[in-house]
Amino acid sequence: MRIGGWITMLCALAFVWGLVIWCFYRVLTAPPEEEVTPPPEGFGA
Amino acid sequence: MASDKEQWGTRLGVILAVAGSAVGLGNFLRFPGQAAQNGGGAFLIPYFCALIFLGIPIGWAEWTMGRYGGKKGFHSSPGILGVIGRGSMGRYLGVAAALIPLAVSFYYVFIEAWTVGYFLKFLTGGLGIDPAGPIAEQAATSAAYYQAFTGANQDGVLFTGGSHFTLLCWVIVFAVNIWLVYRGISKGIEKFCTWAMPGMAICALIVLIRVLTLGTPDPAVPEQNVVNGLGYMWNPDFSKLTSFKTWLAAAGQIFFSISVGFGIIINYASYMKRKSDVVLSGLTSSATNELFEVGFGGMITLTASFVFLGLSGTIAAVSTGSFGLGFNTLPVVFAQMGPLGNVVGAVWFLMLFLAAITSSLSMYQPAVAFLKEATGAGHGKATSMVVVLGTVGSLLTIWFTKDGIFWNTLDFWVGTLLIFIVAMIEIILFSWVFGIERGWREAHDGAMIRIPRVFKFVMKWVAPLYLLIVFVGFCFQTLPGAVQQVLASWPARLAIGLILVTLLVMAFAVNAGEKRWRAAGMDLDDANPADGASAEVGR
Repeated sequence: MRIGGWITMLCALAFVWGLVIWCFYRVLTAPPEEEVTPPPEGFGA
Repeated sequence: MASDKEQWGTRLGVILAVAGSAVGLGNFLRFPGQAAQNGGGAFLIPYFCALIFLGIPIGWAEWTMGRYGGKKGFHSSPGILGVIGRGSMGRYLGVAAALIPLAVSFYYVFIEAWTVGYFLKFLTGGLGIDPAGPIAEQAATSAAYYQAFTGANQDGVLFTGGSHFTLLCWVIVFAVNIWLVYRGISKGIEKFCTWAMPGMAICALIVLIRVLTLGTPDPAVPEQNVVNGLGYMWNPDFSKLTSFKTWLAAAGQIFFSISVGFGIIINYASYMKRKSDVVLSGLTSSATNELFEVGFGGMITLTASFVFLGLSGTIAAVSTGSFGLGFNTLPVVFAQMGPLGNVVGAVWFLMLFLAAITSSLSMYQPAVAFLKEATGAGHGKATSMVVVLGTVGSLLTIWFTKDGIFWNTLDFWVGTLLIFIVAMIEIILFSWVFGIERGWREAHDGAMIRIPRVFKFVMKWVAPLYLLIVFVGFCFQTLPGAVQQVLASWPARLAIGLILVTLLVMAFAVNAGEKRWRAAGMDLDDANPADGASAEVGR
């Protein structure tokens, strides 16, 4: 595999794994639905 | 049996159910082939562009519309799009969205039966491929089994032939699907997806670890190793990015993979609580789909094929299409893996089965919801009607198996073309009729994260235009051939007839339902917005 292949593969894997882990972390650590308060401005804040 | 007032039990439950609906056979079989044929690693650039500007925004729109329709007491696409579009036009356009999951289920469950059949075969000794023989001979054995199992050589052979194994597999998967749908949203679908999705991930991890530790199995051909196999999939060819075909393929892959335009997300989201989050949930289900597609599909399928079949064998396998790759080529690959080959094969097909059943469940549920709403039937009666419709559609598919023309016709006209149209209708209704400002507020009601503001522009302008360009390109590329096939083949015409009859029956059902909903005092035209907005907002 060429260096370009390694870079694209590792970037793509880091992106999808990172996104999934971040999303599930947010979902699983969120308070129960009744207690949700509106979030402040800004993505993921 | 499900209660009349159905609802998801947990936040995680609905996310896993929607992710399960999105993760299907295409994640493991179609994506790697598309990537390898369209620039390898470079394909990921248009692919992620399509994810960000098309898949995720339309997904958010569907989640929001579904939850809003649920607040009004609607769970079917015609009911929900009637509310969002404020009138009959939205309702009748929604018939197309109600047709898609039902019509796709006609053939999808048949293919799901293949995964069960192959799983059982690998569990009980494999397909009879002799790994000591020449590769051509092994490929012929695998192809013969595939042809016999799927009935690709002759119409009716799965009923009249010596073996009824395929039929038995279909009966099993159809019964399991119906039983889970009958159990209801929370006790059936949610409960099943809550263990099926982690189960699928474990199966994928097992196969991935086995593939990545294959090394160089045949020292006589040292170039056939894992690293070169990964290189075949991931080495970027940036010259392909100048081709419109690559961008079209990437958008198409995202679009079909993420389940937008199917009329499924909109139905699932309608069972959410009034203040449940839709933004993080939509993003999480899309991210989960991407993990299975890029993280597993992109690492396993072609790498395994390359290690044992080499470059020319893998190119040939990719050219046979997704099903050829999955059901024809990979059994040959598993046969080369020695004593553990059958175990790896069984795990692989179990994973495909879990991917398929979590998707097929999401096809029956919208049909049940539609029949309940349109006819006023209870859950049991509506499920029985789906059994009748599903049986008729599936039996036609299982009878007309020659060269897969019948189900390929359904797949093209409903499972591909109509999805583009429905997605376009949905994003236009959301951004332009319901109104982007109102839609934005509705999406953020109860949201656990905020969508970056730029997506307001993306949802209103970029996604519809992107979709239109992709749709026109897709039509130019594929429509002439598809029309030719319909004109030339009568099973294809029969499939078109089945689509039209089903569409017509559904339109009549909506017409009848409309009268019932009005009589019951339901706010089917959103005259009193559930979010307190003026009825004129967004017009």
